[in-house]
Amino acid sequence: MTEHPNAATARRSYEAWNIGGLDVLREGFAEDVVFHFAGNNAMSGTYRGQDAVMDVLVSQPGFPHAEMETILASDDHIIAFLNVTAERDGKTLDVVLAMPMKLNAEGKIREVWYLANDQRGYDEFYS
Amino acid sequence: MAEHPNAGLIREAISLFNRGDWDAYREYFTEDVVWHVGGNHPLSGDYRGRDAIFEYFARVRDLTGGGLRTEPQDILADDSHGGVFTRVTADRDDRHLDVVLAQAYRINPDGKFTEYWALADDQDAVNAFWS
Repeated sequence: MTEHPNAATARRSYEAWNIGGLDVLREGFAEDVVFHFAGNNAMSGTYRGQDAVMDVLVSQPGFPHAEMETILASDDHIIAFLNVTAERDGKTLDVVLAMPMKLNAEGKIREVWYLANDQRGYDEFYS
Repeated sequence: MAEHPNAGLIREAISLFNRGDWDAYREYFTEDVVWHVGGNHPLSGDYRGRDAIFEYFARVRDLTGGGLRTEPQDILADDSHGGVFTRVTADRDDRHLDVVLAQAYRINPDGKFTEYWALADDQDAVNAFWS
């Protein structure tokens, strides 16, 4: 089965993230993009707009690395499963994030949720 | 593009949930399934094992008079994963819930759910509904 074009969009964004390609990452977002971070940590909450989203993403300590486990895509949605690792002040983060996304009519990322399989570990790392 | 078999599996499971066919629904889960319920409300947290998860479903059913419905808008799947964007509606006393839930599933080679995550587009509304 060939990859859906929207899966390629998501893959490009993650590759950009891992090499610090923030301009490419930003271009993948709609102007009115919304990010939802679950849990109880310094990042938890909802962020609206490209600027707010980019600010919170770059503010993540330890510059987490995202290893793609799989990408599911349809015309309107993407769900990425990622193994995310980071280190910070002797603490280690190693979680699987499920990241559902909605796309707009131009194929840009419009809404994203961060869901960690080990939310407590995620909260501790980012607290 | 033909629907992936795991998309069909999720569709069947959701239909059993909506019908309240709990015995049949139970067959879609492994014994040691883990269920992550997002948000900050009394039902949030991690449920480990099929029994714990079905106790959680029973609480949801009791609190909503069995009236919680989930209406899938889009189902995505590959051989080991699934994802659903679904409209969830429920009533509880004078409270009404109407949100879109993003759900992610891990699926084993036997076609059973091993792990699940969910979070709503309007998580504050979900928190208020269950609190």
